[in-house]
Amino acid sequence: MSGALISSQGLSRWYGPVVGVNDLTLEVEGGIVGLLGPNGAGKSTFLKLVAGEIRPSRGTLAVLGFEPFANREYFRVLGFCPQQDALYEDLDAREFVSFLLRLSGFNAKEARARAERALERTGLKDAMLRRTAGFSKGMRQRTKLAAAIAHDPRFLIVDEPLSGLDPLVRSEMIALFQELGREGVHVLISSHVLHEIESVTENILLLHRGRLLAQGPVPEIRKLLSRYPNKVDIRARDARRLARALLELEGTSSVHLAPEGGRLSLETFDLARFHAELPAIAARERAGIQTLESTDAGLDAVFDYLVG
Amino acid sequence: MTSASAAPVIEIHELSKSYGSVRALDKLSLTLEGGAVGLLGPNGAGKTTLIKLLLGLLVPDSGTASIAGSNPATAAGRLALRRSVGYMPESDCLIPGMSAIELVATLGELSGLSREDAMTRAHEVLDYVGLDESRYRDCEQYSTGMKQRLKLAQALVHDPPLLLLDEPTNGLDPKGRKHMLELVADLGTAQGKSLLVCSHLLPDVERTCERVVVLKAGHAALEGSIADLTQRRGRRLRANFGGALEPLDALLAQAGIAVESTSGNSRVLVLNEAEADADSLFALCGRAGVRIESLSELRSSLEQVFLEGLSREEPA
Amino acid sequence: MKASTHTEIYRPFVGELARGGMRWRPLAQSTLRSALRKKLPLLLFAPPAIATVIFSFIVYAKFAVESGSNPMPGAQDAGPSPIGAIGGMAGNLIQVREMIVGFHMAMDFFALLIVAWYGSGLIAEDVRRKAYLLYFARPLTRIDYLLGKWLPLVLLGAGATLLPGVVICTVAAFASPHWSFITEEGDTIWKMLLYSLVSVCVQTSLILAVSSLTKRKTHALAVALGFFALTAGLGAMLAGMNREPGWNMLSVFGCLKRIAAGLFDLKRLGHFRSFEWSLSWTWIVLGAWVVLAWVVLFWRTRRLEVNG
Repeated sequence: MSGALISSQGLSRWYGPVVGVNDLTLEVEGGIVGLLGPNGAGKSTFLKLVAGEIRPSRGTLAVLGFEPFANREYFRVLGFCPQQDALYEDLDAREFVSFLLRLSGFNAKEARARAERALERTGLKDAMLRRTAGFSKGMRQRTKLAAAIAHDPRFLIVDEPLSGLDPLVRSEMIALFQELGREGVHVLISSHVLHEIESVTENILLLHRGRLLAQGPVPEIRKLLSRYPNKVDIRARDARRLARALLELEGTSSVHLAPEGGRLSLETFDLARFHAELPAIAARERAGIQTLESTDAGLDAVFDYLVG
Repeated sequence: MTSASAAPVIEIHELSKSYGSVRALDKLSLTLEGGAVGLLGPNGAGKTTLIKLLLGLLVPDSGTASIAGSNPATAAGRLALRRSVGYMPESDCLIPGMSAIELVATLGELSGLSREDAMTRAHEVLDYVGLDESRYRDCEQYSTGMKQRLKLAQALVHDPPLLLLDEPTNGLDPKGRKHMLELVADLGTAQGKSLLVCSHLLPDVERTCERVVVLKAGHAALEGSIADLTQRRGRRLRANFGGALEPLDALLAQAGIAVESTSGNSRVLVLNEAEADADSLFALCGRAGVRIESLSELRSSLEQVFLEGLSREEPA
Repeated sequence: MKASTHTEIYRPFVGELARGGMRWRPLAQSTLRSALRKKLPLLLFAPPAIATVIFSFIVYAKFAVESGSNPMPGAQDAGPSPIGAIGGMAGNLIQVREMIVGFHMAMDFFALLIVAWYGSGLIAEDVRRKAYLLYFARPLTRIDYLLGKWLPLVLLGAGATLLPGVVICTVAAFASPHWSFITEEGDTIWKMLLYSLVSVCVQTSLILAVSSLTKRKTHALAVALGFFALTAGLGAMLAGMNREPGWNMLSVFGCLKRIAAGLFDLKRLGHFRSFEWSLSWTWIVLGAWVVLAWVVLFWRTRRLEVNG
């Protein structure tokens, strides 16, 4: 139990009759975790609870061993990069970040040094002396991010961190998160863009209607969804012949041939057996297999299956 | 469905536009014939200026352009081209105090439809984007997904041949994103519209567009079809293996299959020209008790193409 | 019977898109519709409506009582003498004219409220909600957009001044014996129409210009009413302090009253004891305000087109 990043028991929070999160019991070990869910799933409520902005209506919540709400000790080790744009327009980026650091208790000299380092890390080295009023959306994002990491937090929470960023900067920020993960910083990323979460981490927390729908590494979650057969796409010269052979394989539930030929989609309840037997089948049939791919093992498919 | 008509939908030649000392567009040349083209580029590369030009809201400094058959150099042309263009803005925008059906119908009328036509079209496009009962409600209360679909509907109401979609999946949750991308893909293929899709999300662009243009500092740094740009180079395959991997590398070497790179249980293999397929690889693995869990052609990703396009030196 | 299915949801539009013509019309119609949607603000029309009814009645009664018909049966008098009757009639007409003008001056205030209420949000809310992005992607020039916003406002303002004026004049015309109102005081009718038009045009132009300079309806409302109040107060104060009535030209309402006085040959009106300042200058000042308002409108609209 101790040592876990986030640990909650029966965590609930409601706003009048509207339920934000409903009876969440979970334990997150740490590392980089993606927080997902459709709109209205309770993601923002959960984030606010974990960031200590609001207090639970019921149940317990411990983050890094702290009770988050209004906990100054906790705030010292927490970095929060919210979705909303809230910068002081008159300040330049460096002033803004230094100002926030000074509020946290750093002296002027150290605040400035840390601010510069953080802004360099988020790629604003050349722009840090410009007023934030003139910043593009992407630069504002990066300023917020810098402010969240400047005090070297142990736990970083980011809400839609990559919105408004062009692909170049996107990949730089993804690299930054991976780097932070390697440095031992825990990161909780909330996002709607599934392929970006996939590129940073395997571990996810999926919320839906205020409840926890799934947690853990995506491939493991997929294995738990045994009622959905695994889908595999194969391109082969003689798809039909291969299809016939695969239909005889134990566990295959369906084979679908593409009308244009040369491609088949297979569904099987026993993926392991499929992988084990395929080489022999391929050698025997000589159907000219060119590519082989599992099409529903990724986050996209898992999300679909669970949220529907 | 109709194939691309003879004249390209957008034909821009050496278009330039400056604001004071800032060169927003620098001798940009671009041709869009039909289907969907993705417009990529870093922020500030001139995308907004290009959109304003395509909507006839700016007068170009120099260069020629023909947009949906109209010439934006003349005032009449600028007005005319807006009849043939539908714009889905990136920002959160709506007309205050109206329901979705009124908004779309009014905008349809403003595009030149008669009141009855505008009403019928409005209902049809709202059906198409999937806004059902909620179309009669005040659109200020819509969720992000509904607002995005409303924006698409108002761009379609006058059935323009050219659509400008600016970040169509902005703020959408995974389900909403999927639905929107389906609509956009459908518009570009089955409905035969010409689309210019501006997006920072490369997988979105890959899903919906056949071609891309990468803007950099106001000109087209890279242009081409996605299939060509991400073409596989040589017969390279990425294979993910499972099971006991120790004998694998030795076996591959024995069989004369070159291994270009290794990462965990993944290998990039180079098959020689004589091999038309991977059957022999399967046979090899079968004998060794090694599983092949996935096998795919190695193509450069659109992201790599984009990054390359940006870092390329400009020709003198 | 031949079978067919029609499952396409999207059908191409097989009609013609209209070119040229009154492009502002749909915008004007929808603006008016939106404005009248809320029922509560229609109460603003109540005072003018009630006042119209009352005034019409008074006007009618005035003519009816003095036209020679003695309402009291069995009166001792044989009736007023012919000359006295004519003199009385002339006096009546003048009185009615003064009443109509007085009525208009009073209604000006309500007209301002109505125009300010409906008009301050017309452009400001479009800016706030970024509706201009949708409008300007249509074949709509700046003039079309501004006409589409201005004309409905003029209509609403006219509902408070022009319409009541027409009603009262009609009643006066019918009630006066032998249509003497039209024959003798026919001037009053077109002068009243002219005055109402000028008043409405000035107020609507200024209010619309204020609306285009702000981002919220409430701000625009405050600024607009404040502007009118400030200029009025300043004008009166400076005129009083310097004993120089020309200062009253600062106030828009002062100018309007001066024009009314000039049109209708009045010596005093409301709290203005005298109208010693130049009529032509007043027209120039008002004209300048209107021109300024429209320059602002065109400039701001261009900004929205380009920078929005």
